[in-house]
Amino acid sequence: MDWIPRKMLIALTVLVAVAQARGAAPIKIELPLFEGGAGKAFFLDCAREYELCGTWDVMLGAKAAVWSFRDGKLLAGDQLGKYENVRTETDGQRWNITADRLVGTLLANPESFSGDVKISAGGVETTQRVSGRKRDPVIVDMYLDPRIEDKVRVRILEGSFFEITNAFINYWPLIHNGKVLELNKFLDQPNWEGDAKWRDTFLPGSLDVYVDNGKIYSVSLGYYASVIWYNKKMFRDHGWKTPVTWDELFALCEQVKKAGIAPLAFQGRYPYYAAPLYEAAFYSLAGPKAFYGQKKLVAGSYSRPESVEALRLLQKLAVEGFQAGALGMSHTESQLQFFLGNTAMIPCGAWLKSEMLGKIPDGFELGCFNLPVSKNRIADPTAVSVHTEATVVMSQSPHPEIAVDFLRLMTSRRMAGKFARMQDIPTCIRGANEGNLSKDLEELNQIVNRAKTSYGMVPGENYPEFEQIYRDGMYRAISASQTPAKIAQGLESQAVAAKARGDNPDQVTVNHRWKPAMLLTLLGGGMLLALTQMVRMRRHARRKLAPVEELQPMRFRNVLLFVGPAVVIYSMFIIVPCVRSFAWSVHQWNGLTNLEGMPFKGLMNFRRLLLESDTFWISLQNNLFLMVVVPLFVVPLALFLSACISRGVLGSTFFRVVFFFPNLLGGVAATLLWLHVYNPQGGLINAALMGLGSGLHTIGIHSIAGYFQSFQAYTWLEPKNLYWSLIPISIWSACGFNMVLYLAAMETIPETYYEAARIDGASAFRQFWTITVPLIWEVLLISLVFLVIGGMKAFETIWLLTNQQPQTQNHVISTLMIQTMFNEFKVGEATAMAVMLFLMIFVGTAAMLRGLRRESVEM
Amino acid sequence: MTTMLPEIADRPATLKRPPRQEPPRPRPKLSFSSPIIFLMLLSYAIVVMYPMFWLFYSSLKSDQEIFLRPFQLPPASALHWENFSHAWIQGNFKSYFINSVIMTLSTVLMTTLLSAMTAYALSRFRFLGAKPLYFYFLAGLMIPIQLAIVPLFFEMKNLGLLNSRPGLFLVYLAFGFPFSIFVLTGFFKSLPSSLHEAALLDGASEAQAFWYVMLPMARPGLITVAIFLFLGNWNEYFVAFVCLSGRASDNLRTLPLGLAKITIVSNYRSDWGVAFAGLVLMMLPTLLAYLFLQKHLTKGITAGAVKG
Repeated sequence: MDWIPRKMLIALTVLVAVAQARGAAPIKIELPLFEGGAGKAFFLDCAREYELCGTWDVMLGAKAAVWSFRDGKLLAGDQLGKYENVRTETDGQRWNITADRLVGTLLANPESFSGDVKISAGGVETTQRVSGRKRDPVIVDMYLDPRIEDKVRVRILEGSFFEITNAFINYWPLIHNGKVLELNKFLDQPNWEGDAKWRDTFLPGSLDVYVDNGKIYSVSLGYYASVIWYNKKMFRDHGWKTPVTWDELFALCEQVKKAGIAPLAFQGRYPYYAAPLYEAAFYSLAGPKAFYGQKKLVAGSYSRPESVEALRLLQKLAVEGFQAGALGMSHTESQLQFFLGNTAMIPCGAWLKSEMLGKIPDGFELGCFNLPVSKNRIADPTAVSVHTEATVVMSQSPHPEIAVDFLRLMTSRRMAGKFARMQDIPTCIRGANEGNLSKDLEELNQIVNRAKTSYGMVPGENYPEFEQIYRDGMYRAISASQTPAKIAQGLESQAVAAKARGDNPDQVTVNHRWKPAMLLTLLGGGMLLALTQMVRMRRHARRKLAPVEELQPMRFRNVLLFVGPAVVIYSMFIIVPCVRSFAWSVHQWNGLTNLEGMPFKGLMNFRRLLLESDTFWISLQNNLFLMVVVPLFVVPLALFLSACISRGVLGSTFFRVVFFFPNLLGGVAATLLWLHVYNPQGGLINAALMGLGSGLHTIGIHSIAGYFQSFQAYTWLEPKNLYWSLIPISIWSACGFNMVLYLAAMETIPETYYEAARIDGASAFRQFWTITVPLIWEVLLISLVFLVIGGMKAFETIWLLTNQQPQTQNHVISTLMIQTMFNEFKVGEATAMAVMLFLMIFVGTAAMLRGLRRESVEM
Repeated sequence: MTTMLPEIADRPATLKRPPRQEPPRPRPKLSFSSPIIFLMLLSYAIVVMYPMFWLFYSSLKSDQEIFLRPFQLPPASALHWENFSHAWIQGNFKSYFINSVIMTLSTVLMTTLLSAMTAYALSRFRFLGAKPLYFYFLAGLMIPIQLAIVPLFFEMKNLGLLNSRPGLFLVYLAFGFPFSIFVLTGFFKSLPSSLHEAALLDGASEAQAFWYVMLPMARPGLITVAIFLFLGNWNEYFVAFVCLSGRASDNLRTLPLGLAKITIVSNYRSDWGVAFAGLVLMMLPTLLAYLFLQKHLTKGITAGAVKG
């Protein structure tokens, strides 16, 4: 069955297709793909070649013929014969076709083409006008984006499925819900070339990304071995040797530092880049079995001595070897540091060169060595740490089978070879790498070929929740904020918890008692205050709104006309969803199944958040920081500025205009501006501090100068600094608004009050404190409420400053909510968070207005 | 009639406190050590303005210059204007910009109009449920958008409004109502009722009275509301992020989304100059609006907040 010749299958399909679908609309498959580095050209090439493949009815001048493209060959009917080594290049509209004895440029789309080809037959060259129409056209609708996962997640929740994607998301929830096509059946069929089983064309380990009980759900193309890259020329000039063991690596770091060069650049804003280093150390110390055990969160695998030792090695490397400021650098920034010759080495996957194409100085010689092994290792030292990306087919898309066929082409030796050649990245396809990689990749290829085994990918579903915990652990190791033993302990206890949660999803373990008790008490108390406030307000309102003038009645028809549209839209898009939020928060739903069938879970989501989740409490603390600390800075400064301006200073109008402006820019623009201002390398702040430092040096104040210069490449936005770095941003953007508020209030204070105070000999400060502040108290309170609500609702600042992937310690409730919904597809839990957020804002505001209200001074 | 509008408009109608009879005070100069205060204010002004100034001139520099010499002004001979054309064309900012303009203008106009209609009915007439309705809208001021967003997403999906301009339009409209109705109801209440009553007595319908009498008188309030809606919607990210992430909305994305994207992409391609230029493009309209409408704006804040 497996070995039915592929050609026959094709012929059959074509026959059936032709019989059914003469003149039918073209089939369209949709591929949202990840675009990193320079991969775009390759994928578009694949798409265009796939569209070209198949059978075409052709007019050559006035003669009809049949052409078929396949496997890089063009079989032409009639006298034209067969053309080998067909290459197509395309810009989307034109196909340039070159083959033995044939060259042409065709204006083309997946359904038809026309243009001129030059054909040489028997030494005679003729130019022929051709036009063709495809018999069963397939349109490959491909689009690439570095953040394709955002779009893909939304599409999945939308329920409108595309055929293929390789976005970096967790596919397990999708697999469990039958959304991802199982590929075993197809892998047992022949490969594109028809000379082997498709399954056998992949290098070992490369189909292990999504495997569940032997069922394979994904294929891969790139073979991303993790290594340490080095600057070959630099090593040659200094006579350094590439290390094999950790000790040799540490010794090398010392040598490099002596030469005045930073040993390693590092992609510190993404601490996950440290994982291969930790894993390499652990693997070589504890062996494969322990390694896979760790991934399965077997009890004791993180606290065992080998794990502590691996964390120690990683931490030592980070402390002794990483470039200053590495923790604040994105991947491209740090990689650029390496290529500019500011560091000698960088740990990175096989994609390094491809990602940096165009930024690599001429003459740069790239080399690499395998991740270091341990002296007392028990694992095979040649083992290579490999990650591959998953490419999956969506089972509920319109044309999954055609999508699989497309993947066959993409993983054919010829196309994979093209990928290797274009990207300079080794591929998972046997026989595709040879002769296609550049000299820079030679050593990598040797490492891969020498390897007797690989590690990194682990078959089966692991615990997706643990990924963030693991990443946080890596961050703690490289930032040296905890000792290795402590980190290992933390990872172990969280691993146990994550495993328990994963194995019994409905069970809530109680980790927090005091905090939820306190929060609920506060909420309850606040609710009471709010209620009394409401009663008071009503009484007040009744007293005050005693009808001054009798209002006229309005006819119902006109009520509908005037009020109707707003009521309908407002109810539909705000009130109804809000009410639904409350309803959904007591259910469990993953957004993928039918809405009606979602199981009722009572208060489980709330119990999980309040009693169990650490992240929720961390987020809440961060919100609290924004709610309390930010106003502490903003309110006094705004008050001071408004006092200065209102008491009359030269240019007060100018200051008013200037101070207010940042407030208008809005969260996104302000945040992105500050993202650049805080940039460790080219940012304004570090440059200013450096300039100040060198200025002080020249006038001889060395101690302070040294302090300023210690901020070289300081990473203001790394997780542990992030919230303090937010304070200048909030001052910058919020001060002006509050100042204008206070100013307006101050202007209503009659001047006579101040005159009287002056006659009594009150100082300016006393006047401010005893006259101004009490009289603007209400406005002060309102501005405080604004600030506190703003701190509670904070989203985009955190979201954008953390590249849309906050570490656990940086989450606020809103970011956590979005992540819970779109990354983990836990709709019930996300709505429960929203409900908590609402309750806190509602109660907090009401209580503040009630609790802090002084009798405002009547004038 | 138009001649009397200014005086009506200029009454500090929305302030709770009665207007004082005394003339605007002559502020005492030099009440405390003025030069020091002046210098402090000036240095804070520099701190506030410099980042923006830096952004503007950096958007004319090459990546290398931005990275290596952050402070330096770009040499006048080598201004990299192409950053702007790259952002505009390759960076797709043309489409982001147009989308933002369409979305912002349409929502600002529509929200202001519908809120004015609602506020008019609520403030000038009595009908069954008028007061509860007012509080119904007011409640929206307390609702964080986060509470609605998850079910809203699925609701829009079921209505086929996800990834469409009308969808985002309706959501922006809905979220603009509480604030605008709150402000405008207060404003309408503060307007003298005699003109309106006269118009009705003369036989004008409610719609005519609204359109020809009340709306022109409410112009300052409308402008205030419109400015706030403009600022809010022009810069809006959260809803747009959730509602316009699908494939179908590739050509509908607004500036904040585009800007966030280009900044993330510049992490992959290090196109700092283009990201800076994009940021400038987004800030310009706000800057212009501010320069022209500055007075209305501060007045609006005062009216909205001092009223409390």
